[in-house]
Amino acid sequence: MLNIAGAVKEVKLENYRIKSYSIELERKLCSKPGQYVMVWYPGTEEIPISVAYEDGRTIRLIIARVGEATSYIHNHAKRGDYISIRGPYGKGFTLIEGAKVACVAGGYGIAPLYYLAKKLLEKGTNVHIFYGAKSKEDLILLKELRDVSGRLFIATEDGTYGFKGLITDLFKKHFSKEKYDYVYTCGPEKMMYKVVSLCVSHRVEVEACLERYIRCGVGLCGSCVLDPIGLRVCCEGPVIKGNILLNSDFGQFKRDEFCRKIPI
Amino acid sequence: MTALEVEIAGLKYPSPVFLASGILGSSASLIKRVLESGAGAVVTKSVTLNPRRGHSTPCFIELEVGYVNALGLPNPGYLHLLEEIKHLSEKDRIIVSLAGSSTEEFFKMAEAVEETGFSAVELNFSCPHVKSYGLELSRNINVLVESIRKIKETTKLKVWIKLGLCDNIVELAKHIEKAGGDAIVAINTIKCVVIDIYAKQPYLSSIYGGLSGKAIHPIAVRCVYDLFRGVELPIIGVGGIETWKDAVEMFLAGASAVQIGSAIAKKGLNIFAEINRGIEKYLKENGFKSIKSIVGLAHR
Repeated sequence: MLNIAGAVKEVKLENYRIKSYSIELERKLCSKPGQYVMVWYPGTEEIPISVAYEDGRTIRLIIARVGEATSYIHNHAKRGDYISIRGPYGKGFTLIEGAKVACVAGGYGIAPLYYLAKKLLEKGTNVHIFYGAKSKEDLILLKELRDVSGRLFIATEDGTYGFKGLITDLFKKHFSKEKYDYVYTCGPEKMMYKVVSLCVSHRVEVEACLERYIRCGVGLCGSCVLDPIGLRVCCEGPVIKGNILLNSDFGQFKRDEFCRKIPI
Repeated sequence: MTALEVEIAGLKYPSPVFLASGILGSSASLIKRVLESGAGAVVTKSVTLNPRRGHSTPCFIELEVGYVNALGLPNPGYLHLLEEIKHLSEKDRIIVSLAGSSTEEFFKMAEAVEETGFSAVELNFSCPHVKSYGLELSRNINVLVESIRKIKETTKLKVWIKLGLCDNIVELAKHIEKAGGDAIVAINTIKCVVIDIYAKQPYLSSIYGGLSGKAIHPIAVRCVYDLFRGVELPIIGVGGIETWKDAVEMFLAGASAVQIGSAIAKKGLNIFAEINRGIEKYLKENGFKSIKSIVGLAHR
């Protein structure tokens, strides 16, 4: 088995529905921001999770309670527990240097962008982070984000923190005057669609990190296909360039466990 | 006619390198992309009468020697897939894989395949990890024989039968030949178990899975070799083919064409063009004008 054995080192409650897990692995993962791992906590299903940080043999996974497997992990995983990891899988973000960069995150989509911003900062690139959530209580990693960004812009839909409204509106406001060279986005697909459309129409390079139903992770089963271009998100993504995305079902359809197209 | 062109049961394919069932073939977009990548034909992911979610994850593992999967035949149901792929051109190069659990199911689906304009079906008597389907069903000679007979009597479809590793594979092939089947496809993944030593339990949710990749290649070659001696039907070799040399080995053992699956994980979709080039070069350098002229050559 090529899986990497791991042990839960620390569980941190980030907010009412998100926990972050530090996992010590038997060997280094060697991931890039934007890549993901297939995580199996025995007792529940195996799920794809973005790597939120990696340091030596320790990785950090930020897991939101969204379904059966994530709820099970939230309810059971504790310090010392065994967790099996396979990966890292997929293509990560392009680590751009010497450019004016913005990251636009929605909800728990902040996880890979936090990792990215941290890596970019190590290379001397100061990024602007735009981070939106429904409400103040949904925001996580605020301190960490301040540490890794040049500027941090926050929007909440109910106005309980930062700008009141959608993060895409806040981003649009700054987009024209800041003149970004490169934009990265991760979050709900409708949100990413707005970011990608804005950037592509202004000829600004943009990469989005997608979420799909993933089974194999290596491009064999076809569960994660992005139509009509036939792109396998699990290995040719999950980070995909904006101009490619706009020629696809991005923001409109995905496939379910039965391989049926369903609206996003 | 190019050196790579092959004919199986009266239908011509521009290359003898096909996509194996279960890999990628569940969406029109990927089928199209694979055909454009140089595959001579694509066998769709197996469809069943009703939609199936498949097994829960974990249903896939990477090993040092290959891959183990137990996807559990996830599919949207035969009508849904046919609806999705009906607009594709070059229908003769798309073989619809059917996984029935009875003669009636195979027949019902086959009729719909013909109505949609496709020319060939592959009957899945080989999946090793789903109860009442595939390999398990191949033990019921009556269902195997009657399914073929009924489809052949009522439709004009070419009927390929995919068999899995079993002791009586040649005997099954003889039954298939007698029943009027058009080609034998061998083999599927090989039934196996992987245990997570730290969790101290099987890794796959369904316990049993199927091993694919390099490790099974010599076993697949053995099956094709034996089948070539046992039946006159064309054989399509599948199992651990990663390079043009593996493909040529299959032809020499008796395969008229080959199917590729797991190797796509490592090599991507360029693998079809790459293997095509290698085979073409081999034929030329060894003075052969066609694939046909090397089929079964190892049996001299």
